[in-house]
Order: sequence, then C-alpha cells, then structure tokens
Amino acid sequence: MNSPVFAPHRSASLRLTRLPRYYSAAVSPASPSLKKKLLLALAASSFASLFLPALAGAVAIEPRSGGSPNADSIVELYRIVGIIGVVVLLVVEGALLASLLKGGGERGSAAAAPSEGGNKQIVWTGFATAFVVVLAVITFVELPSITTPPNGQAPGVSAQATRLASLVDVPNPPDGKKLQINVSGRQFIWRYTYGDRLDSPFVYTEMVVPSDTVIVLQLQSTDVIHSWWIPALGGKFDAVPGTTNYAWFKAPTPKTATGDVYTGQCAEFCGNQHAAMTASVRVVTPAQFKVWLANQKQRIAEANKSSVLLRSKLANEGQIPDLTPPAN
Amino acid sequence: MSATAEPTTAPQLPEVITSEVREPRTTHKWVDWFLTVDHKQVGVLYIVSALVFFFLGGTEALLMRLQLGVANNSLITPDAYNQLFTMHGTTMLFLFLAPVITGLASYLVPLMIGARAVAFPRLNALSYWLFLAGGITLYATLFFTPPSAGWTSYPPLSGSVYSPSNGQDAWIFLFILTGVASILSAITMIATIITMRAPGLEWNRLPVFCWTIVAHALLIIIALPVAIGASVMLLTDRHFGTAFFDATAGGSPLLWQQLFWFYGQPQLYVLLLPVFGVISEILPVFTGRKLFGYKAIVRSIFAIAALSLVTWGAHLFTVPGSSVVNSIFMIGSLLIAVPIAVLVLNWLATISGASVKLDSPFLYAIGCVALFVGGAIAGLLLAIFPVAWQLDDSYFQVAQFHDVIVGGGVFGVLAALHYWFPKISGRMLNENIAKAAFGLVFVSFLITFLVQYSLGLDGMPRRIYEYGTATGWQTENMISTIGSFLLGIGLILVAANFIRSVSAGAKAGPDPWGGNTLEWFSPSPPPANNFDVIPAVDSAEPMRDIRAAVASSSNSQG
Repeated sequence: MNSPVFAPHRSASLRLTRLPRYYSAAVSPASPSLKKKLLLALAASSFASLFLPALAGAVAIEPRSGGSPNADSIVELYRIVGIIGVVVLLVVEGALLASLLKGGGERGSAAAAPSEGGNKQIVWTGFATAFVVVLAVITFVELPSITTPPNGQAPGVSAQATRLASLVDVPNPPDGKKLQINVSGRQFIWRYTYGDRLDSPFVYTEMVVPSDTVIVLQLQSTDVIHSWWIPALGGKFDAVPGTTNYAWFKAPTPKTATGDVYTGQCAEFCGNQHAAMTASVRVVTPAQFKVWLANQKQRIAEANKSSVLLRSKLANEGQIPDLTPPAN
Repeated sequence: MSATAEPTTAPQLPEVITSEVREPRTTHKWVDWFLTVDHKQVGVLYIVSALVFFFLGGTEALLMRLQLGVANNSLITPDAYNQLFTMHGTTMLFLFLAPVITGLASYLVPLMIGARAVAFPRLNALSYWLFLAGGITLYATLFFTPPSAGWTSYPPLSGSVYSPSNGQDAWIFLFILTGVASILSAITMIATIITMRAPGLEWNRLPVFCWTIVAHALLIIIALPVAIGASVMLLTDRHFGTAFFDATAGGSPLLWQQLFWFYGQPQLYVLLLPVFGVISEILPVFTGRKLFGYKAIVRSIFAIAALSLVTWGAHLFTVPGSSVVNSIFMIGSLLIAVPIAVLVLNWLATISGASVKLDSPFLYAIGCVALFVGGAIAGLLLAIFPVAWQLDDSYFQVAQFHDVIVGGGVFGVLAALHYWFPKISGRMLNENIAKAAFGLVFVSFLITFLVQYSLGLDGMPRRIYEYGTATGWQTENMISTIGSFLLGIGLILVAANFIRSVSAGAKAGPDPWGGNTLEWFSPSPPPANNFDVIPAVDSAEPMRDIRAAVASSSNSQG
C-alpha cells in the first residue's frame, strides 16, 4: 500500500474558506505599560554595560601607536572608519529601540506600512555601495604610508640588497637605506639575527634597534606558525615555515638613556606555551646601537670560544665523542 | 472563528484522512526515535542533541573565563586550556550552531512548503546519525587526550610532530562526519524545496526561511567538500607519509589555510543566512505587516552567499602576501556589507512605526539584529587589511566574531526556538520567564564581549592561557568573566523554561502567533503526515490569505 507520507501531492488541494476544526483562537497580549518600562530598563542597562567599564578603568578604544609611522597611520584609518561605523550603528540601534518602544498595542493598529513603491531598494543599494566605496578609497589613500617606509637617517649599518619575492611585498624606503633583521620564531621564543652570515650576531627575546632608522624584519619560522606583533610598532605578520614574511618600523628617538622598550607577544596560537612567547624591542640611539652590536658580537665570540674549550676538554676526558673536524 | 461552528453553506471540505496516516514502525515510542525517518523527529533529535552540545561548549567557555578572570592564574594548566578552547570552538560551530540550524530546517521546511515529508527521508535520518557519531567521536577524547590545536587546526601545529596525540585525529574524523552529515542534509533540503512545494507555492511565494535554506545548502555543497578533502589530506600527512602541509618536505602550511577558509568564510553565512530567514519570518508576524521588500531580501541573501565564496582571503591578511591580493579580498569583503545593509534596511522598514507585539520571539529577533549590526560594523574594520593587521587574532577579533556568531547566530536561533516551540511541542512557553531570561542574556552578553574589544585594542592576543599583571588587562578580564557567568545563568533560565513548558505550558493551538506560513496551518505538534489537506497557495503569506478568506466568508454568512 502506498504511504501518503511519501506522496505529498496525492490528495486534492483546495481553496479554504474556513479553518479546520482543530483551529482555535490566539493568545491574548500582556499589558503594554510595564513592557515599556522593562524595555527602557533593558536599554539603560545595555547602555550602562557599554560605559561602566570605561568608568572603572582605562579602556582602549583604538590600537596602540606612537612607535612607528605605520602604526600611526593604521590608527588614523581606524579612527575614520570607526567614527563612520559608530554613526551608522547609533542610527540602526536607535531605529530598533524606537520600534520596541512603540510596541504593546494591537498589531497593525499603528501607522500603515511604508509603501514599497518607488525605487527604495535601488537607492538603498546605491547608498550602501557608496559607503563601501568611501571606505575603500580612504584605505587606499592611507595605504602607502602603512606599507612603504619613509626615508630614515643614515643607519650606520649598511643596507642589504633585498631579493624580490614574487607574491610577497617587501617594504623598502625610497632611498633604500634600511637595517634588515632576520626574525626567526620557534616554540616559544624569538631569535633576532643581525645579518645573514653564519657568524652574524644574534639575540633572543629582546631586539635592540637604532632609532630613526628604517628596520625591516624578515620573518621566518623553524617549526609551527607564529605571528610577530608589537602593537605600537605596527601590525602583526605571520612567520610561516617555508616562507618569508616582512614587517617594518621606524621608531622615534628614545626618551630615556637606556632606550624605549616596546612590548608584544606572539599572536598566532603556537602550542602549549603560546602565552609565554613574548617579544620586546629596545630602541636606542644609533651610537648606542653600534656599541651594543659590537659588544654582542664579542660576547658571542667569547661564549663560542669557551664552549669549544669545554667541548675539547670533555672530549679529552672521554665524556663526549670528539666531533672536531680533522685539520686539513 | 465563528466559521468553525457547524457549516451549512460553506464549501465542502474533504474528509480528514486518518486511515492513511502511516502506522508507526513499532509500538515502543523510544525505539521509534532510533528508527525514525520522519523529518520532524529527525529535526527534534538534531535540535535536542545540538542544545546538549551547546551546554557542553558553554561549560568549556566558562572554565576558560574562570582561568582568565585574574592575572597569572594557575587554576587550569596550559594544556587543558588549549584543549578547552579547541573543544569550545569545535563544539559551538560543528556540534551546536550548524546542527541546530539543520534541525530547524529538517523540521520546518516541509511544513512551510506544504509537504508531508522531505525528499530523501532516509538520507535525512542518516545525516543525523553521522552528526551524532561525529559528536561522540570528539567527546570520547575526554577519556583520552582531547585535541588542542584550535578549531582551525592549522598545520604544522596540528601535524603529527607537534600534535602527536590522537585527539587531533578525533577532530579530523569529527570534521569529516559532521561535514558529510551537513552535505546529506543540504542535498535533502534542496531536493525537497525544488520538488515538493504545495500547489501554487511558486518560487516567488517561497517563505524567506526556505530561500535562506536553499542558499545555505548550496554553500554547503560547494564549499564543504573542499575542507573535508583538506582534512583527509591532514590525516594522510599525519599517518601515511604525505606532505601536503609540511614545509620541510616541499608542502605548504598556507595551503591548509587557503582550503580551510574557502570553506570557513562561507560557513559563517551557512550559519547566518538561515538566521536572516528566521528574522524575516518573525518580524512580519509580530508587526502584523507584510515583509517589506521580499524580493530585495531574497536577492540580498543570494548576493551574500555568492560573495562569501570569493572572500576567504580576508582571513589571510597577516600571512606572507601582497597588497594587491589583500586589496581584492578587502573589496570583496566590504561588498558583502551592501546586501547586508539592504537586508537590515528592509527589516527596519518592516517594523518602523508598526505597533508590535513584544513577545519573546520578537525580542530575540530585535536583539539579534541589534547585536549582529554591531558585529558587522566591527567586521568592516577587520575587512580593511591594514587595520586587520592590528586587530586580527586579538581579543578584538574574538569579540567581533562572538558578536556576529552569538549575537547574530545564537540570538537568531533562540528567536527561532521561542517562535516555533509552540509548533514543535504543542505548548506555550512561559512568556514572563522568557522575557526575563532575554533581558539577562542580552545584557550579560554585552558585559562579556564589549570589554573584549578593548582588550584586543590593548594588545591581548587570543588563545593565551594567562597574562601577567604588567599588561593591565585585569579589570576588563574580570568584567568579562562576571558577564560570562551571568550569561550562563540566563541560558540556564532559557533551558529551564523549555523543559518546564514541554509538559506544563498552556496548550498552544495550531497558530498562537497569527503566523504567515503554512506550518501554522497544521496542528501543534503536527501529525505524522503534517497535513490532511494541503491548501492551495496564492501568495508568499498563505495563512494571512486563509485568515482573510475565513473572515470574509463568515462575514458574508452574517
């Protein structure tokens, strides 16, 4: 036997002039005045929850800036878009609240529905498109100051030639003078290498850079994906194994003798101690930087020497295998 | 309703068909739940299971908020914290929001189009059991090692070297099982809507919710197989020596991100479009008006769906790339704002100046629009790639996507559950509890998530299990934790109201709200065959026509 459950159109359809017997009256509405009070209370408490935190303590309303021109430009762009957005938001929320406060009466008893005639939809679409075009244009106006470094002072460290990477933008100031630092992420620490030779000086966690100099960071990773992010020095950029990413900043002259420190931490989840993968940048004067870099070179050389000594001592004592390459 | 008195001259109605209603397979009710191919029972199974997972995912969120409440907290170990946020994200997206929408579609679409079943009832039932198997696979890891690479499972972190535990494999199988479940359900829904509409229910009369399910199903069919393929590639990378995502052997970790977000970006709209449909169903009913701009709304829905397929790069602004590529994806993402603005303006036109009935479904619908608009505007900032360089992967982004997915998605789902609860259970909810719970949920949502925007702007990255006192993030985190527990209480109140009302609620009758679509023509809860009589449809709001016809015929009879 055919089951009607799977024969949807089998029975004749008809035009109804009365409802089936199981049909009954609707539920009656509740009193309107109490509802209005409750709604106002709801709106007020929502509003309070927006601003109470602001009273309780400092609340950030824009990304950090002040360490680099690109960070400043990003904040500028953020403010323009944010202000436009907040205006739109207030208009929409106001319209929603107004509709709620009208509520409580019999349905359909208020003003007739607006007419669908005219070209409302076209006007609305046009308006929204114009809004989007404005946002895009503002972005493209700000973009060069975010992606392209300005000229810095002569860095005191010779600039390196950059390789062209096909699909990756490499930041380059107009005069080409920059200090390139290789930033290598690994679980759960950053290593900064000043140069691309095997014996180039390096340091972990705290990067030291000269002020007023265009610093270009070459971001790489030796294990999982990490993300370089010092908020006041501009945006975040991922260090992905197998690829090279770039970031740049140009910090102002330090206000203290020991240098200004900008902090941040890894922004791409990288495992167990992701929260502990912090980074900081100490900005010192170019003269201080030269001294620091020379000292760092020396410290590394001394440490290497002592480790070679220790290694040969242990090898002589037979505690570790002798890995010294045979002399030519 | 005087017409329900004994008719004398009214046109003849056919006899109510009772003999042809299919006999249940078994006399044991509980066995029937396992064997059912009825779209309503499958829908209820989907919705109830999803709500159970919702409370599991919510508990995980509260544990995370507990850990982040104060600086340098040692309540939860880093490993456990990473497992918690992985389980939370995975649960909420794959085991709550997606299936609860699938369940609503399974329950409602045939009723709304005047059909007596779905096109492929067994496929539809299989979809549910695959989804449940996926959920059990994930939660079985609680007894072993849960996955801990985040719900996005980026390799190399999710690879065998850095995630050796089989929790990550469980995540992959969950993804495959729930993904196949979604595809089966999507195929069923599209076939049902194309082939089984009531007489006269032409495409330009299809309820907006059904339109959104068409768009939702198309997105699933186009985008989800790509990500399922990617997760199989991840599985072979982990166990069978391939190197699709392994940079040390010539693969690329970025390939995963491209494939995953090709699915992930449309997936957001897979979740949101049906919610837009729910809003478009609820607003006209509670304002007693026609939906403003039916055609414009449907066009906008499909414009959003199409644009979502070409904007996945908006999730890749911080990876090595060029401003040219980023600009293209930025413009695409910004363009999505156009159809969304048209949608919102049409909704505002539907309710503006109307005298509305402030019942709980309407409140949730308005709350949904209010929060979603906030999230969408914050989303503009994340679509502009230089600004995203500061905001991506920070708590700003956390707040923004919760604003969209919880404020838009979950509030929309709650609106739907409050609206259709009388249809599904046959009982009314307690409106006073429902409204009180709405107030609590809405305000506590704002308390929880607004301060997170500030945390992100202040440099707090997502997915960190602790922070130091020098960061200055303590106050906001404490506020957010308090808000999250209030939110938990609010949601428990919602659940208690549902549970109580299933048995203790007032009888709803077939059409408690004065609905516009055909599901309100059927009794509550609907019988196995949905409709003894399928009415002919003359407009997009057939129940309004039926009520008008009844009123005029009873007037003419005096």
